[in-house]
Amino acid sequence: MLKYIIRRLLIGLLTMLFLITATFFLMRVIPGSPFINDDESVAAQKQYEQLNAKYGLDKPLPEQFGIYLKGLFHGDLGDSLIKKGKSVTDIIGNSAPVTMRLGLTAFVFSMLVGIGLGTAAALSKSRALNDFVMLLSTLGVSVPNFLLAVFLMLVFGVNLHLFPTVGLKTPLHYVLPTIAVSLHPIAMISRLTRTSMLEVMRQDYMVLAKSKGTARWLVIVRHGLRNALLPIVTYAGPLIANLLTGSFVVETLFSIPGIGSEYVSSVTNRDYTLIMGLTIFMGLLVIVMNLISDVAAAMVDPRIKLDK
Amino acid sequence: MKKTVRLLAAVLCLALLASCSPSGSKTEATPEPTAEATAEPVAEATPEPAEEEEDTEPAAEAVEHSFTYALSSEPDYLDPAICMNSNTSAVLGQLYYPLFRYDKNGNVENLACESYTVSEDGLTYTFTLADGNTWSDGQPVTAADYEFGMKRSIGYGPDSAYAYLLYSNVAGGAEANADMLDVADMTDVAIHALDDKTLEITLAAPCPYFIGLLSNVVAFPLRSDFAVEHESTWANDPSVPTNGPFRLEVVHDKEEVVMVKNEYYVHADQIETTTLTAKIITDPQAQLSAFQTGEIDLALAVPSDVLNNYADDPALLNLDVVSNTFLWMNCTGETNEALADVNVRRALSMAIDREQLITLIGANGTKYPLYGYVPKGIADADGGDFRTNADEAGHYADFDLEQAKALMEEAGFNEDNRMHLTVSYIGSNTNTDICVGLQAIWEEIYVDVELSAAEQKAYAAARKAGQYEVATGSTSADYLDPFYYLERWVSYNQGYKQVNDPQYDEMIEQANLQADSAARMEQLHKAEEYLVADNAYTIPLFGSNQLYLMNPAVSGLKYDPTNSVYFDGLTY
Repeated sequence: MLKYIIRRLLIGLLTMLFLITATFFLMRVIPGSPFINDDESVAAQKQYEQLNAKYGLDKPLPEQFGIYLKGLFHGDLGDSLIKKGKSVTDIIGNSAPVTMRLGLTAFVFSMLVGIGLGTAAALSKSRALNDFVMLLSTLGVSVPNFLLAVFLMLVFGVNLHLFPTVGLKTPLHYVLPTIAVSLHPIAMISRLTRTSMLEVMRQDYMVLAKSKGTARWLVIVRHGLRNALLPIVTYAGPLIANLLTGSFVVETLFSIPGIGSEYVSSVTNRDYTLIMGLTIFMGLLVIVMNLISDVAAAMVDPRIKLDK
Repeated sequence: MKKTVRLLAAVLCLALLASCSPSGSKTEATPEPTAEATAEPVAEATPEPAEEEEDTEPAAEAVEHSFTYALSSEPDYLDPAICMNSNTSAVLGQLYYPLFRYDKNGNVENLACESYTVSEDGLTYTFTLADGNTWSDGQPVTAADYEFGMKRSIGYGPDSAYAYLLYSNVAGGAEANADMLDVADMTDVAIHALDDKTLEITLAAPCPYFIGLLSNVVAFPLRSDFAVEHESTWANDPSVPTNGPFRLEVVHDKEEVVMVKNEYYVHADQIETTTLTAKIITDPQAQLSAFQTGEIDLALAVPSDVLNNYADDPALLNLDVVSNTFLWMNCTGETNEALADVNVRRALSMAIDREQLITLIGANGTKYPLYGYVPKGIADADGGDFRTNADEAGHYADFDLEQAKALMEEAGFNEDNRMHLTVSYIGSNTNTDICVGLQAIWEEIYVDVELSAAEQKAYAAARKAGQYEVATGSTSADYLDPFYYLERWVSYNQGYKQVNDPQYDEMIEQANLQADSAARMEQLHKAEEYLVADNAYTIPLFGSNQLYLMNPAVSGLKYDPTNSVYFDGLTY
């Protein structure tokens, strides 16, 4: 196991190096630069040149890359080019926790609701419930979250005045954005759970457990759910990475000062240093989360051999 | 409120309960989400949800008044020297008390400056400061603080976008800016505090609109014992004294800026607002929702369809701001030979029925047809409006389809030999509508238009490199003088010289040499006519208004045509 983890970490490191190089050069290929704007006056032209010189953007590209890497190895992500005077580390440090709070809430919420609905649908013989879960999971994967977010905002915020729509100040503020980001994972999880639960219920060991006279709920929890949750564990890793990297749409609509909206605006602004910083941060997050979920899957299911 | 939350929870529970009942016995997994669904809303109902609304709806008996407005992006560091967008200045304008400020008609009004004199040659300005101007820590504001603020902006470095307003006019300013001098070394920069109440500024050349420039953030006073030079990280610290109606309480990055009444402010007795909050809400639709839920009292960027939904509502403010939408023309002919022909350019302009185009893009009420390059809101020599005065004498760009066709034919184009033209624009709904409209309009004068949308930075890069034929553009004013607009077409003022006409350069240069303001404006009118009517170097389309939504229970919002807002006059 340890060997496996070390190997995965080494591969992760290589992936990061590739990610850093590719992002750095690809961003520079995109037309436009951080300081360019539509103003053509003498003052603006002069300022454009001075800024490029100040932030080293007038140097040859490989040299800029060298300078960036050198800073990176010293743990210095540089200053944002657009947000004057703010360091990339500070920006990530301020916005990542916000996205994390929302992401973790949404993660727990979608896990509980998703597994609950999926299990219920698999065990129940009610046609209505099954149809409901299927409908929900179809809607969940097909309704884009910006539509859902606007819908929630208009209905529960503007018309019914039930929930506030700006920021994440109080627990009440979490309700709408949490639902908006959770619907898709809920749909995925409930569908996965339902399928996997149906599969498990047909297994011989379930019949054996039942025939031993174990109580039904105990059979379901100890033997059924435990086995049925395997695919969920594998799904949870990418899901949590996805939730922790934030959603541009939901963060913009609910004015949440998180990392998702920051990422998109940094690209629009060509804020090179911030783009790099966020890419590295998110890349690390994805790599670590995937590793954790693979290891977790192996722990839950002894049949999975990581070293092979 | 609690009731409704419970109701919602009950509905959720119902859905989940319904799911487990048919299975006979209870399963382990199902109760869990039920518990979660109930636990969440109930727990959330405990903090009083009405809190937000109480903030915004002032109780009659309380003297505490809070006001919340929305910014469409996060302000930069609250350092006047580096402020370069309206969202930052919408905060700075509340914190500082400058010498001058524009009123809603674009006239300069005195704030901290009681009176001033200008020398005969128009070069030396002597300002006398009003009494009682005090920093939020109780110290008096002196002329030296204004001197320090201005000089610090000049020497700040390239990140100060608006320092040019000062350094390009003040004697010795350009050198100090280029060398990024410290204020202590700026003895040659002609801004001098003669005593605590007197400030003297000498210009390198006469600048008829100089007083207006002093309303800009770069001329705000600063404390030399707090404001570190050439950097800005000190600026969000609430302990930095300011001299405006409000002082900084706290900045939550990307979330909100909270300000409180400055008890030391010179007119503190007139300020009714005790807490002023700027919330960052990027999306216009989200600003609208937040206004409707009562979370904000003032939305500064809202979708234009509010014009219909709030047509007769006192909450809707439709304000005149100085901003034009126009077409860049690559008049060099390098990308499209036909554009070097003045007849073609004039035909393109004449073919446009601007009122119809506005209706077409659904902007009635937020845009008005523009028949010259300078938009409405800028004063002429007689105190009237520069644009209105010019339009009364005759439009520079009138709609005349027949003549447009004739001009195109003269240039050699007809039904069999159609002109091909690419129109570049920044991809947005409004721009797309405008360009599709132009496509339909020009179709009739033998022009086949190809549309080319790009994202903002890519568009700017291409246009500045001259890789365009016709492109949409929009300019809002840094200061209110026709010169600001007309100077953009002088050859030295363009990186890529799409318009390179020595005669025009001469006309603009001559204008500022006129000592008499009427003669100067006369000259600027002539230059604009030459630019738009005679040569069609640019095609004006429309001017814009700005829509705000403001809580009708509050009145007294101050604003100016450069789209700045001030909250020192709010009454409840």
